[in-house]
Amino acid sequence: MGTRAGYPEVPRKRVASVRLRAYAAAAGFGRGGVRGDTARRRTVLVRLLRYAYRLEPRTLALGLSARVLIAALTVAAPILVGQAIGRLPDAIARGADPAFIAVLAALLTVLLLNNVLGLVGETTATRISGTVEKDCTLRMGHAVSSRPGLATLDDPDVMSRVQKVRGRRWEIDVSVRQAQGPVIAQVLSLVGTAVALGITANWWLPAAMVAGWVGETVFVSRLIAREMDLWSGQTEPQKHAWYAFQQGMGKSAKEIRIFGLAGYFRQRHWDNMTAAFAPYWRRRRRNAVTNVAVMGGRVLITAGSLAYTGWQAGRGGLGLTQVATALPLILSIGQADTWMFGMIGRGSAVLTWLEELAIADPSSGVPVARAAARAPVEAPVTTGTPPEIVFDDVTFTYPRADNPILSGLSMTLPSGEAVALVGVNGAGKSTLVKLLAGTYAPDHGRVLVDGVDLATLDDDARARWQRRVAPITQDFIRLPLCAGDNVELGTGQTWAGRIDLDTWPGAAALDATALERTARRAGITDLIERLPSGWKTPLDKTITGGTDLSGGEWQRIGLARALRAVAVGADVLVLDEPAAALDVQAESRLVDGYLDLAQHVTSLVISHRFSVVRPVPLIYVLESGRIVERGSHAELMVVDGRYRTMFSLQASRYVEAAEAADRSGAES
Amino acid sequence: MNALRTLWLWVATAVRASPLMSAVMCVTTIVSAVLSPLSVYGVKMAIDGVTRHTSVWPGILLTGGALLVSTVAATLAGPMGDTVDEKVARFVHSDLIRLTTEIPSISHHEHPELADRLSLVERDAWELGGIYRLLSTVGAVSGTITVVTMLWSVTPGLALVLVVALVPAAIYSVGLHQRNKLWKANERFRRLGHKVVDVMLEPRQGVEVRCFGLSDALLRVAGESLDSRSGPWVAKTRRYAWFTAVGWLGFGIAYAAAVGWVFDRARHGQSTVGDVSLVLLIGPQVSTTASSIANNVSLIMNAVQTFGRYRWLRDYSAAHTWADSVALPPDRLVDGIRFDHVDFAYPSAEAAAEADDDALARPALTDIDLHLPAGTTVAFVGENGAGKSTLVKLLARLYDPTRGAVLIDGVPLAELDPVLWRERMSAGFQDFASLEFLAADSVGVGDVERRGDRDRLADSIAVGQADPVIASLKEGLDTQLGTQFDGGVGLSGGQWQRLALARAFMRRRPLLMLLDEPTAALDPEAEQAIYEQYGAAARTLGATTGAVTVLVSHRFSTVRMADLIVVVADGRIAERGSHAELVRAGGRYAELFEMHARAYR
Repeated sequence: MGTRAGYPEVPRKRVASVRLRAYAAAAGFGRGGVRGDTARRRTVLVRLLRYAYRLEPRTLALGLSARVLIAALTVAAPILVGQAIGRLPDAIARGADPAFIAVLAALLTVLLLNNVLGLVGETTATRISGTVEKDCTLRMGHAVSSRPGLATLDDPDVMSRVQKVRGRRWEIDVSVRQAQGPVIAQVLSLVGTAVALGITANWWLPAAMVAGWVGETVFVSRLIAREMDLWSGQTEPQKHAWYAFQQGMGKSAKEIRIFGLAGYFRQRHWDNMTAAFAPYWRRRRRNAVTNVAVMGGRVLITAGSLAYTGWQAGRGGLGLTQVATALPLILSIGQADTWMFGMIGRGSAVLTWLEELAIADPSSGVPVARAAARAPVEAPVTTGTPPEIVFDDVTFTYPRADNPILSGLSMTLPSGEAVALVGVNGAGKSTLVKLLAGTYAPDHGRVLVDGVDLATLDDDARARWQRRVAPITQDFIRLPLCAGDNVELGTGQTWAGRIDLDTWPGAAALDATALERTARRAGITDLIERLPSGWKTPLDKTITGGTDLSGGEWQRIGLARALRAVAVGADVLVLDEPAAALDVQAESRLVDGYLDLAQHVTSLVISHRFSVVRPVPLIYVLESGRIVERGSHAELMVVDGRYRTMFSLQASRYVEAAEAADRSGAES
Repeated sequence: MNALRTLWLWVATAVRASPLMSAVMCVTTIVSAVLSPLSVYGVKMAIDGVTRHTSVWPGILLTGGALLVSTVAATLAGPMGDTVDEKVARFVHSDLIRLTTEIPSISHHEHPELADRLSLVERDAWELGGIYRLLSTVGAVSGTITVVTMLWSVTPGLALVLVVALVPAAIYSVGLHQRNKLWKANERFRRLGHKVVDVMLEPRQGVEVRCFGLSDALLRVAGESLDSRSGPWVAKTRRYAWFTAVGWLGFGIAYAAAVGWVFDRARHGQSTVGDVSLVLLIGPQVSTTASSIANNVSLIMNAVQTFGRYRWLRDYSAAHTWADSVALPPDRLVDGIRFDHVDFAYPSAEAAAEADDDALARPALTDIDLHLPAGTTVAFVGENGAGKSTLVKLLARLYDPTRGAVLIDGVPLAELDPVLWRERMSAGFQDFASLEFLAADSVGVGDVERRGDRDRLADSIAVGQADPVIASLKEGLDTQLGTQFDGGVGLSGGQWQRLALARAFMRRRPLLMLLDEPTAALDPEAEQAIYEQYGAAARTLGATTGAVTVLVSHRFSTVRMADLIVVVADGRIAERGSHAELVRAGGRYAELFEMHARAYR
């Protein structure tokens, strides 16, 4: 990484990694992690506020202070109004005395402050909201990417939770806003109003009314929580609907047009959406009716309180000041909202899902986030010698599969040498890469790196091992960032790391020296030169100034990324079908240059193209989950086995073609 | 006029999505709006009762009654509003699918500005809410009337207080509007942030994310990108909060003056104690009313904007249906397909040309003149990015040429009904869609009408060499694909490709078959088997209907089977001829072929 001197973002990075650790700590927060029960026992409001506090302590404190003041004012206002009105007849008759003027001035100040404090509350809410959206997004990414294993990500339960959180994370944002704003204000003003009413009239009146409010709040929250349960139980149709929607909105654009699928996708979306919502709506309808009854009960309490006050006023038990104070107070308690509480319960539930994601790891049960609190591995740590990698009688079965994909596979990748692997589709070639990278552990057998079994490594050590591996896999990464970033990410760092390079002042200072070097090695100099803004071109058509690459061009970028990783110290190069999308010239360049690229590293190239594997001195043939042959091209051609059969089949077509061409040439 | 059309779309959307509930919501909204000020008036009546020693009961009853009705209305309105919103969202989402998919071209997916707009409409679908929101305006209006009436009843001049209160409210609304504009302008940052995180959520990219150690770097990119958006937004919020606060200070002064004035009138016997109390009580109501007027104005402005975009999409879709293209495709091809001096530049390139950005404005195809004879198989060969795929896309009329025309038996493709033309073609692509449906549907949508025909499915699967894929699935054709779904099975890239090929072979009598590197991820044996099986069928079809097959491949073993080979370079046609002719000619093709064949000697 040191090659990029003076990169101005170093301090910010440090801040970010501190933040990351904060996420980790946050997700593991509470005794024994956030196991569902403890989380649920804590009240929703406190939970959301704590969450906001962890993210934005000062902003939250400011916002809450504003809310407390507003609440105090809400209590003070009716009292002041009552005082003012009570003194009115006298003041009108005899002129305003200083006490009356003081009350009026206070009242006006209260009104003004109320409006201004509302603005403070909103500004803080906006800020918190932005941070919450970011935190939820990052936490989700962190939860599924921070551990070296892939079992979590491949687990359908985890994935379905990810989808759930992804679809509804906005509820957290909305709920936090509500919790630190209207809800807290509601609670505070309710308390204040009740106290004020107690002082003004008597104590059982507010007690009864608050009891009514609490009862209804509990009831409403339960109702909403139950709707939520129903909702999360219905995610299958919801997922199908969302999937159809996304495909319809562009992901399957070509297929939809060519096969005339507009109506089909629309129908799929509608049917699934309806199936997802129908039970939810039914339940909600039922709930609403019950709820009216409960609400009605509370209105009766309020009406009773009003009547009692009226009766007392009639028989002279309460004076003008008291009546004028009590009536607005009663109205205020009677109208206190209960729905908001239920609604923030939804956000809290989604937050629980998000936190559960962080601890979900079927393989070890260790909280993902806690394990990830380790310092990020900044660059590959190598020993100076490329490793020897041995697959020793490896058998592997995917978690939900019936049959092993690899069974009894043994092979050796000698230190610093190039090895090729051939095999037909589905033979298990890509699985082998996952095992080599330590993202999965074999059922039986061992994967040994310089004699050390990968399965015995802890997460930190496994992550360090992974940094030594520079892969290009079949589903290689294509990021909507600029070309420079897409290559530079091979180092685990960004180059620009942003898409507003046209306006960003730092863009001019970006140094592409190291990138150029890699580009030359990877043979993509021409590709970069063709891009409208060179390295700074965003590789996404939907970004202004951006462009889309073809599959082959992307593959060359992916290859360059792997080489960039080698340049900063990775010493295992793994190329999984690196030529699949390449054109003839690019493939030929790759073939010619491969052995050169693979110098000083242990390398594995996987391909079904013989043109790619042929020059490699050691070739393994993978079939039915095991190695059936090994040797150089020449050696394997001597043995009458799989390799020779496959090679001859492919070669025959070229030979025939060439002969045919010669023949027709000769005839004419 | 435009705003009216937009508002009308709002109404129409609500009515179509959920007529009954929308109506009920409208009623409850109005009722609660009217009743809330009434309960305040009830308190005033009760206080007057105490001071004048008349009955307090009319006031108490009015307050209690108003409370009861508004509570019930509000209780029903909450959940019902949610349901209405969800119904509207379902309706709008469905309509969005219709609008985007019914545009026969795909250029709207690739234009940055259009993509931005689309994603905004998509996101706003949840906010397009019920028409009852429009009626909160009624609440604001009725609230205003009540407040004005009450102030007026004391003395007409007092109504000016409300006018003063409108100033800060208006500033606030302008701020809101400004912020929304900013929010939308920075939409791309949000898209980037979420896309980057989506990469981390994708199991297939898990190995690379881990080996390159991308977790932290990508989180940083996502975080900074989201910050780029929320930072300016918070700053703007803060700035307008200051402006608004100053406005409220002005209101406070005006209100104090009003109180003093009415008090003075009372001193002179022109007003009652009740009047002064009313003015004191109504202070918060005035500022609430002013805010709600301003809020409603901005709500409507916002809705006009959101629905404006929605309407824009509807108009765009309606304008791009190629309604003039009504000619029927021929039943069989006699002459074949011709490119007649075709130029083509991608929409992004056109946008760049408008912006005078020469580097981006490079046309994808220049002056293509080419005949694909009826009944033949034509192969396009060339480097990545040479323009082969673009040629293929023009044949499917996924785009229209910038200049020149594609002729189908002499009839310009632009005149053929695009839907009917596509019914007579089929295609397999390298970047095919992995449709995560039931396996039967994922293949069957290749001929959607016959997707239930198991024999047809079996045949297509056999031709696409997808038998082993189906055989590996526990429930065969009835297996759900895609791990995100319950019981769903994940497939490898090669397996998906076979299914996509089977899909392409579902249609039986296409006039045009486009195979744009659909076998890149397959091993050569599988590819060979596919083309041998398909080739036989294609020849028969070619002989009867004059069908043309266009294939793009990097494998010369496949390419050489074609009757005509076209070498494309830099958006132009460099060479054409049969394999033998081209090899003999010793040009570009011969060179490429030799390069490839060398590995096999």
